[in-house]
Amino acid sequence: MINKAFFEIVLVLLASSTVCSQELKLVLCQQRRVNQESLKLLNKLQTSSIQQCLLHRKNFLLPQKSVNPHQYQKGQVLAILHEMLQQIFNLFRATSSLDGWEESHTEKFLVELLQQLEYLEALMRLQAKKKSDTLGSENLRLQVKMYFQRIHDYLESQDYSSCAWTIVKVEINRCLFLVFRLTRKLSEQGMET
Amino acid sequence: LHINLPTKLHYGFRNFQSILSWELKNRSIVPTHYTLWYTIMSKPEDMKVVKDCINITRSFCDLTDVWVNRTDMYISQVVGYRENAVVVSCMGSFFLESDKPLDPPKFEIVDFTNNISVNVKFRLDSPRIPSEELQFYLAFIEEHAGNSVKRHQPQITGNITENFNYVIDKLIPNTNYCISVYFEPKDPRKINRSPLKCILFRPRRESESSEPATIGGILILFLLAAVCISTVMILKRIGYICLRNDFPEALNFYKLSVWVFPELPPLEKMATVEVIHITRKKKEWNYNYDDESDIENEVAPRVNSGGYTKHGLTGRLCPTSTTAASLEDCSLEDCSLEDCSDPSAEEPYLPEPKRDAETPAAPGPGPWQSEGTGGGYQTRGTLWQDPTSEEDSDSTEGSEGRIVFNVNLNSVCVRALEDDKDSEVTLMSPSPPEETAVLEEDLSETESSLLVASEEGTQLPFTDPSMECLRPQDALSDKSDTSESDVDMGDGYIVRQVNLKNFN
Repeated sequence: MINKAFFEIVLVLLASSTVCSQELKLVLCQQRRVNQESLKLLNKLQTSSIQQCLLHRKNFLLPQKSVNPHQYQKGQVLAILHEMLQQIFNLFRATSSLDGWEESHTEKFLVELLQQLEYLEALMRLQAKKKSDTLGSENLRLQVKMYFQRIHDYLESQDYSSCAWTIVKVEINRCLFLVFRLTRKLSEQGMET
Repeated sequence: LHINLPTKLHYGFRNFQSILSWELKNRSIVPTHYTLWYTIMSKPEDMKVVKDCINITRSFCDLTDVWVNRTDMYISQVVGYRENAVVVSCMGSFFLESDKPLDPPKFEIVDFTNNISVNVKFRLDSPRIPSEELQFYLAFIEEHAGNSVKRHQPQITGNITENFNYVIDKLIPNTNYCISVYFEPKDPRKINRSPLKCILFRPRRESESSEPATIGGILILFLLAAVCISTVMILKRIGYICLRNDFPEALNFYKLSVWVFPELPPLEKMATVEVIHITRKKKEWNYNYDDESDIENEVAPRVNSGGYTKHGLTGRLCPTSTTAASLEDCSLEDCSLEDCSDPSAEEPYLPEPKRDAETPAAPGPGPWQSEGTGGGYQTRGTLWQDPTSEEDSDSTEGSEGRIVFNVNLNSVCVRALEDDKDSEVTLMSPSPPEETAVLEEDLSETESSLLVASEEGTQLPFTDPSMECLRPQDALSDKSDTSESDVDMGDGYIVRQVNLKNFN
């Protein structure tokens, strides 16, 4: 009986490793698409408008340690990635003060985000079967949530002004590139294991 | 106080150096010197001046040590002065992750036997970029061959501070390959490729380069062997060394050859023996001096129940390689059978030569009377000449003098006697000794009969009474003792070639 269970566990691990490897490649590619869409939104911003909003800058205290890819295990990194993308999705879904161009590109941006979230959730399910390196994920998720709460509060305090949105877009781009770093590192780790 | 003149700011990352350069589109007013300021978007900080770019005359500034946070957005401001008056001021925002496409690194390509090696050179003095930053710069190598473009992504692991090599294999011989290297930008529209470096791939055949080496190696081996052998020969010739012939016993391989190739056992000596049984009544002297008793005592050979006739055989066995002269040494003697007339005896007796038979000085035809239906054994012998044999009757001179008698070998034991002229070969049986026939034999024969005398004069093994010899009743059968190898010689004799080996 033990032998049978052991055999099944081995099969699951092997299958999950294979699936995980393929999923990680998809995650990395998808993250690149997400970042590209985000950049399109940012590039539309004129420099003049950026210069005009220098007075509206705010330090949202991005948890740098949380996005440091060198100190966390795969399960924790997945949790951080999922939480950050989920929050970004929620943030832009609530955006209302957007023009036509921005609205269409924002919608496209959200579609790419959603696809990335599905890939990450699949990886998390595989990771949950291994029941490993998921300890401490809740604390990291909390830090990410607090960060985005600060962004929400800023927007609300600025009445969702254009400068506020400009500042937030700049911040989100910064956040997404850190996410891209994590994703690439995760992909490299997943291919090595 | 900012005068916005059309200014083109360009931010570049070359050899891991952050360079911000600017170009005035309107050259009507050219500043004499410039000062660069900057700030970041992530924090509400004031503009900062770049210390190395204060009142500079050049139109670029090295910001490698200043703009280090690649995930941040930098806001730059270039202020141009002319005669202490600001003539130009322009601002720019740069998101380093996307707006700083890495300039392609320098690289070299080397053509090897079966592949092309691309050596990408990083700046050695680029400590400003931490390794964890560097590893996110994906370098790509493009392989152009004809109309096809293939992209390779080398895996950079660990700290990259120096060069790394990437090998491109599976190439088509005699094809022009062009290589380009670039770092992957976050913005796919901003790929900054290096200039192409091309090389004609001509693989070298390893076999050609290795053949001369192989031939050279073989020649060297031959030369060495020749030198060694000639040296030994010269030393031996001049007497400096002496080769021993008397090897120690352990090195005596003579016997080894014997062990490896054991000598074949000597050919079995075969002799054709025909036993002619003469049944003779026991001669009792009845005080009658009549000389006809010998003739009267002769009885025609009878057939025993086993199908064998009993014969008494006396005489000397002569060497096979006999000539007429040597045959003279052979002579017939009287039968020494003690009892040749026992009718109950089933063992064959060696026949006694007839007295009236010719007894030549040379062992001519023996006075045989042979009759028997039993299995006869014929050994090719040098001994007697069967007078009944037509073949031998005229072969006095040329024959070897054969003794032909029938013997049931299953019922007899044979032993060899001493090696002397008087040695006798006793044909013995498990039965009482009076039934034993005696056959004299010259041990100098090379071809003996089945009765072989050992030099030591010991009895043949099966003559040992304790030896298990086949009882006559075990060996005899109602059937004829003839076998397929038997040859009917006529007159009721069946000769059979005897394999002496059976008796040993």
